[in-house]
Amino acid sequence: MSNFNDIQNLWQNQPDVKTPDVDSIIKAANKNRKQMITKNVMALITLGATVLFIAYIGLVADFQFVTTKVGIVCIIISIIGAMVLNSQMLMLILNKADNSVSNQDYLNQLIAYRNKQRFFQTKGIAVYFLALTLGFILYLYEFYARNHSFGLKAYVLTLLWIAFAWFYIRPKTIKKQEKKINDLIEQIESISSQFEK
Amino acid sequence: MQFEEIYQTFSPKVYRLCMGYVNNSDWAKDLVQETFISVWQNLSKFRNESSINTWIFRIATNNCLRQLEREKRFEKTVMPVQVEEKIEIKRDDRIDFLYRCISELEETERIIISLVLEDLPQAEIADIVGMSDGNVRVKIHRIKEKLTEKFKSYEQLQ
Repeated sequence: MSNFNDIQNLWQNQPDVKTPDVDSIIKAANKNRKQMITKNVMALITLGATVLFIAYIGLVADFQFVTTKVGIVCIIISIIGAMVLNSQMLMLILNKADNSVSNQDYLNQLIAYRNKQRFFQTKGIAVYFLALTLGFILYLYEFYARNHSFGLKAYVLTLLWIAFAWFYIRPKTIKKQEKKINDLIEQIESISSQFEK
Repeated sequence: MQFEEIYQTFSPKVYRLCMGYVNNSDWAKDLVQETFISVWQNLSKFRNESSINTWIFRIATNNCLRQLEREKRFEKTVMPVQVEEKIEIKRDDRIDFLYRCISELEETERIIISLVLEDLPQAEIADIVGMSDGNVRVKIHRIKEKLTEKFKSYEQLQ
């Protein structure tokens, strides 16, 4: 076994290992596709149900002010945004990687995709908080107008909670997500750099 | 070419390639399955722009490269699977050693050498990995040397 031809012979003459049979591959492929569709449909149903539920509360409750309704819309938007960010939907939209390109091109696609993901997550959280804060400020205004002391308390509590989430939870979440994505990008880049050696 | 025919022709090759990459039989079988699911779903998009060989090996190797995103998930199940495997089939020690040697190489080297061992022409390997012909030639030469050296020292120990 002192030359490469022997090694190649060894490789090519190794006994075949039983791989899954062709039917089970086709079955798995179909199942895979069905699962993807079901997942997307479920996500859309959950989204729709949430929107309807909040809109229903907004319509049924006897709100006089426009600000309250605009506030509800803002809160709905922020909740939808959070759901999209947390679900696989965003990943599916962003990840258009074509796996039939060369390895080098594929790795570049993966890096681009992870960069996009990082951007959307970081900016997405900021937009979420902005919409949520604005929504609550508008929503609570009617309570404040009707009953100053109750409204004030509601304002203070809500804004305190949002401030806590913004200054404590948000940086922590971003840091965690960034670390995960940065580690991945670093690994992909280190493989990609092997082509240049 | 029908899917079934493609699968019969290429699944052993893809298995060996994946095995060279991950050196774990169960994981390699998973990768074969994933590769051919992708082949099945995209077969209508394949338009003979490249050879079917290149096309399938590109999907398979890209699939291997993507494993870095999942390695952590798999680690948990690796141990029992390997133990089971050893009881089930007694593979040639030299083959085990070969897979071990390959899995110790860098990721791109693992892919390149597996394609060389499958007897793919250099130009096609260059096309699959996305390197120039010249660079691939140099790389292949270096990896072959590395592997042969390892085998020499292995045999001296036997």
